[in-house]
Amino acid sequence: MSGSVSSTEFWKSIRNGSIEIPLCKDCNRFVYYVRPFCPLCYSENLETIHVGLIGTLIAYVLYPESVGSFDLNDKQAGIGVIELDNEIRLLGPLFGPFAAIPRGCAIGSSVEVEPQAKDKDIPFKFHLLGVS
Amino acid sequence: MKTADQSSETEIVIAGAAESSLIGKVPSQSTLDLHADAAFNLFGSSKHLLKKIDGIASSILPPTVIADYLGMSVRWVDGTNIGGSSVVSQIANASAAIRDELCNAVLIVFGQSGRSRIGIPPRPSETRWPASEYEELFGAKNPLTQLTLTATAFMNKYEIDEEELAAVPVAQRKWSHNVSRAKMRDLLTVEQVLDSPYVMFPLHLFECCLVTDAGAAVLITSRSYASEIEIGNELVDISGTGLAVGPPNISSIGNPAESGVFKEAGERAFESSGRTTEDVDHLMLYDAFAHLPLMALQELEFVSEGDAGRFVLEGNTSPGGILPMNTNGGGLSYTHPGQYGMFEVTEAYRQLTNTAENQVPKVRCSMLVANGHSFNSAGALILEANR
Repeated sequence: MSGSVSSTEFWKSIRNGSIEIPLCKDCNRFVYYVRPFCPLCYSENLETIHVGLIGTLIAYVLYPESVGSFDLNDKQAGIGVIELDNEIRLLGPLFGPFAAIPRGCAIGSSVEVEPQAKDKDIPFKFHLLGVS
Repeated sequence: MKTADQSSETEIVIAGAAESSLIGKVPSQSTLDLHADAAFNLFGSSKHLLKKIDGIASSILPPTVIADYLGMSVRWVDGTNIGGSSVVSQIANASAAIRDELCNAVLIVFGQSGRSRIGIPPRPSETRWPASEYEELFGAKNPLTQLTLTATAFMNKYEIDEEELAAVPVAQRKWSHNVSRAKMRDLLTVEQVLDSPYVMFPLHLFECCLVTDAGAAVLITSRSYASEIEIGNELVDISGTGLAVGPPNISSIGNPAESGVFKEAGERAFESSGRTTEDVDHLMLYDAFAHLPLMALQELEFVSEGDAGRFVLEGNTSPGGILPMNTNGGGLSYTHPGQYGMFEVTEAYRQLTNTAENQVPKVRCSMLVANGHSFNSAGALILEANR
């Protein structure tokens, strides 16, 4: 994966099973996507913080074959954007298990981020836990 | 864009707009051919006037390459490529350059063999970092699985139902039905839209733009230089421009239910023109996907929050409606080679010069809004009839 030097630690943390994101110690805001400085106050006084792996789905698309399907545990159903604690937003691939991919809107559903080991193609998966 | 001390001679105008002879599936023309064809169509039998155009702007191919190909001798170039909104930025830049006497006239020229892929430059994803690092590796590619993500968020927040979303292509097909050059002209019903296959949930086939080959050209100059070179085309006033920049990756936009950049660019265009929504009687809103014009209608405050879907469903943007929108049929039905913004300008020019095939009566003020590379940019332009 090509990326910036500043994002190396972020991706390394994912491959090690967690998510670590820089926090600006001066304005107390997370810096994501990762940069070596805070884009709000330009401080370089950052520290890396572990963040939780459960988020809320705020936007998504589904591949056509996923709509209305019931058994998609091993297939990527689409792409989602989730919001973790502290307003950090990640985009990632949506996977099951699903009761059913809703034909209507699944926004607001809980999603678990599952980091993937280094030998996997993608760094993490999103698992939709249930429609609220 | 007018300033208090600006005389009518130095007012900046669009002094002609044209498209390539063929649009749609045109395997006989390369990307460069489409540029040249559109430029020649703008000048008609007066191609020699190209020798008097000393500025050029383009986005798909370098302006220096096109200037040489067309035998032009230029002293000002602009290669701004910010996606579909490039033309708005180029018009603003060209206006400033002419006002500052860096050149007398700028040919903004575009061509894209989006469907046939003849002579089209590669599109390296690395140029769009950080979207490439954080999003494309998961399959989120602009625009199909990136820009579309905002549709579910928008529909959820504003309770836009699928009938209201489907009303967008239905309304625009009513326009393209009478446009002979439009790629898709058959009238549609909401049911037909909803019965068409999903391209990417929640968007059906008819809610996604076409993929075509097409070229377009626009000439920007001062009123005095247009008169001096006897261009002969009708003039359209450039009343206001506005540009806005957002994040390159979709997960970083402030709220995925809003573009943010439509609102910002629109406000700047209104401010620079001194116009308001009340003055606008014709709209061209970028429609790579059906939810985009709905977002723009709300963010530009032509309708209240949550009312855009109903507004279109009730026929207000259709022929005979109170706010004619995307009167060529838009990217959903007319043409969409990849960067569609130029075709919003050509249609606005036609409407303002009373030369559209689908002419709306008495159009005096047209507004167009385009976005680029998802919501990495947006541009808004307010044009006014000169009659």
